[in-house]
Amino acid sequence: MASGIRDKVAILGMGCSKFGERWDAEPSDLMAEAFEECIADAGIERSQIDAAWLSTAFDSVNVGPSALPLATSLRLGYIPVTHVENMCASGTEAFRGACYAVASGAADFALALGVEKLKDTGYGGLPARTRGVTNDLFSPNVSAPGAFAQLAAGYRGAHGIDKDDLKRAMAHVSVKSHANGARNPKAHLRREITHEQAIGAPMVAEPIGLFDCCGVSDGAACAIVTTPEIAMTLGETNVVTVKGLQLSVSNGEEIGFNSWNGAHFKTTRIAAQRAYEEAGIDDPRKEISATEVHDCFSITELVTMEDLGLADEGQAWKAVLDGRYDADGDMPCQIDGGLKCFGHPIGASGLRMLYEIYLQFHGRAEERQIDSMRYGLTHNLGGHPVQNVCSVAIVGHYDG
Amino acid sequence: MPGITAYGAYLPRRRLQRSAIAAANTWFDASLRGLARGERTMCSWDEDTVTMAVEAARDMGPATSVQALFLASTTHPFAVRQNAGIVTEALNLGRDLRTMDVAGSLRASTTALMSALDAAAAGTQAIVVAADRRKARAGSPMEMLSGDGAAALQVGTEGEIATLLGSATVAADFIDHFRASGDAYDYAWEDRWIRDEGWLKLVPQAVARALAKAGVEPPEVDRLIVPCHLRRVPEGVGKACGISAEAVADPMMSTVGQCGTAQPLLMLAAELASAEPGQIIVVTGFGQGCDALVFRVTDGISAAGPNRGVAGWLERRVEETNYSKFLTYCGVVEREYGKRAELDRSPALTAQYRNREGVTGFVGGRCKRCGTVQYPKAIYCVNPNCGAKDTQEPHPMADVPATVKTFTADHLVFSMDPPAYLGLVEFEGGGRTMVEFTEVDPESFDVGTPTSMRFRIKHVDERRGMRQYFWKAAPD
Repeated sequence: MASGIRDKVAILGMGCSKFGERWDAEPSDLMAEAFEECIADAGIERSQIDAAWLSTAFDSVNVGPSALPLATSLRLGYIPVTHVENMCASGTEAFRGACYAVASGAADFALALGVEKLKDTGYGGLPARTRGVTNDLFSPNVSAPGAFAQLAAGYRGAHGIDKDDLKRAMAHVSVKSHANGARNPKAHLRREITHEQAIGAPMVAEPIGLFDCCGVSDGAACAIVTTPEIAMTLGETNVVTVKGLQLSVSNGEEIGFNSWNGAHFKTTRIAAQRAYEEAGIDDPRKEISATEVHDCFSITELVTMEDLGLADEGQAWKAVLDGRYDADGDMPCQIDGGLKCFGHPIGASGLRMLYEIYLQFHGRAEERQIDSMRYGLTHNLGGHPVQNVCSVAIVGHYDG
Repeated sequence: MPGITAYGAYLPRRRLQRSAIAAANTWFDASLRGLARGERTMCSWDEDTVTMAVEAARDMGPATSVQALFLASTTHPFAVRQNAGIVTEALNLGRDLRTMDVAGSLRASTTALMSALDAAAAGTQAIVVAADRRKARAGSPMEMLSGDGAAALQVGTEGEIATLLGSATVAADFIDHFRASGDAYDYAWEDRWIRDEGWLKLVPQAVARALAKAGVEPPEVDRLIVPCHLRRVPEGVGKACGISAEAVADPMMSTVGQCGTAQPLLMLAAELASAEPGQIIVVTGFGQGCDALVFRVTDGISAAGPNRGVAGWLERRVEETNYSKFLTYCGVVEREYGKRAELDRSPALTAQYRNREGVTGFVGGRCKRCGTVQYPKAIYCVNPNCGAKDTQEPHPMADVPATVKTFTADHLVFSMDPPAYLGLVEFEGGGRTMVEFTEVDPESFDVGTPTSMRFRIKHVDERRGMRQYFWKAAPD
């Protein structure tokens, strides 16, 4: 196996816009808002950026195609800019591009910026879109909650879990994230909810109710990466580096071959395993301090705990109910509110997750601050349980 | 001797209660109360003439060595794009056959049958399918009396279950109702005139001529099929023909309704199910004159039978009392569908043509190296332990039973029948795919529910008048 990029890339600065229904803001406003915070944090000049990556998922209701929207919005200096799209995992894809540029020596400073403007459609939820002319001939018309609700059915069936027990655990996931989001000034949804509210909410796609769904938000997040050496030259004493960064993409086996049980994410398991190896993590349950996972729906977060190896198979629902991933639990999950409450501007989400972990390593997470961070993990998922794209990133203090 | 070699039928599962039509409309037309008995079949939003025709043909069982397919209807979904061609591809009948749409009159089906029997006499085995989903104005008698349905017959000269003895046509431009090209609704004249000058005069003339050609005396007729929606007219026709009231077949008005071109063949399919060898059956088709065909049932009748047949489909029913839903599905009212329904999908006729075998025929692939069945057929085998290239042979899957592996009821996505049921199904003998479900009963539907694939409308492109067909899984 290749040696990977462990400790070859440092996060020099990060920024994140306020997420929410930003009726006032153009995508360019959101990009500038995240970028200004990021570049000030990095302490470099805009002209020093050598290359940039832009991530969005819904071009047609957002910035439109190509890398031009980033280059023109920020008036970048005619540098190479790349537009990436990998569904909801797009944000981590932009980050991966920037990291590889630095790790390869092609760039000293690389920018990754994700932005999504979802509230220009005129209705709630994600924009309806085609899946391509050929796929449209075959693929069922399905919403994201419809696709993920099947994970709940699959998980319940595979492990013989009572419907009400699973719904209680799903409610716990959301109640926890609302409690966290309420303490985050940049979060979209900042209201705590009760278990009763979560369980009693209107059904969107059985068993996913309204409070099992993440927020559909406008927002942007970005990172500037460099090498650890340059970071230290610039006076950074608390260097946060990438320990592992892996992507796994379905090849059609889950949807087309009779072996997948519908109760887990094959991609997450593979990406996590590779990321742990790259990072040199032997026991993730002991070494990881906090996670920001792709909680597009409560059931996704719950199942992901198992796929990341942070809970035993078929047992995550109990760990959730035991409060293991709550703010005061062993391994807080979505301490910033997650997709659930910070919000989910698709192309920005992977970078938003890193933003929170980055703040935690710098002790800047205010009332959400977690003590003694060792490794932080982000997990960013695009697509549906039957066919998806998954990225896992692990960051920590530089110990090179 | 040319004759019928197989028969099948299809009736939509939904049965609109005529009392529901009356409840919404008698404020305007009190006379509708007199028609408000029983129920009528009603297509779901995803059914039309073509989908019903496919199901009726499938009901006959696997078709072998068919050289022609005629589709009769007065409600062909496409004015230009051969509708019979869609049915042929859905049935995987290959390309070496004659296909034709027959239209213009409610007797299009019996005329097509006569032509098919002529073709059979010349050595061509043919399928005749008739289907209609007739659109009627809200509160019209036609809305009350029509039904949606389809029937199919295969004809040939070997293994007949009913042999043609003779046939005749009386052609007359008798306009009981008409619809101009491009118009949505029929315009009808007075029932009493239609009865007296039409049914009671033209049908007996045609029957008399057909019987004479067949060398059959009227009292010898065991079953007389008169596909008439007017009360007591079939018996009246029988009397005028010299055929006893006991021989007059049930026009199925209380359970099905008048299914247009399909009605004579549907009634014939129902009669064949209980026919005895040697019986004489007369079939008539009415519309701008009359067709009459005289058959003698053979000994072969006991061996052959449809999968479900009229009786089986009649049994498979769910009552519908939502008249507003009926109007919506018929396109009679303009409903607010929400912005999600505005999504514009290109018909991409190039992609449609390239994928016609997989999409219209539901043909997957089977790896010759490892035996793995997969849908859709792909370049590389999906089996992680195989992965061989170009090893997949076509594997028809439309008739393979499938069970529900995962599913959900999606309230968010746009659907004409919310919530949208969709999920993963696994096919007997291997293969799985994500499908839309249709005809779901929420109470009994679950993981493990056995399903069959059904040819349905996937998407209607209102803007271009295109409808996209595909297969959905329906609980058995």
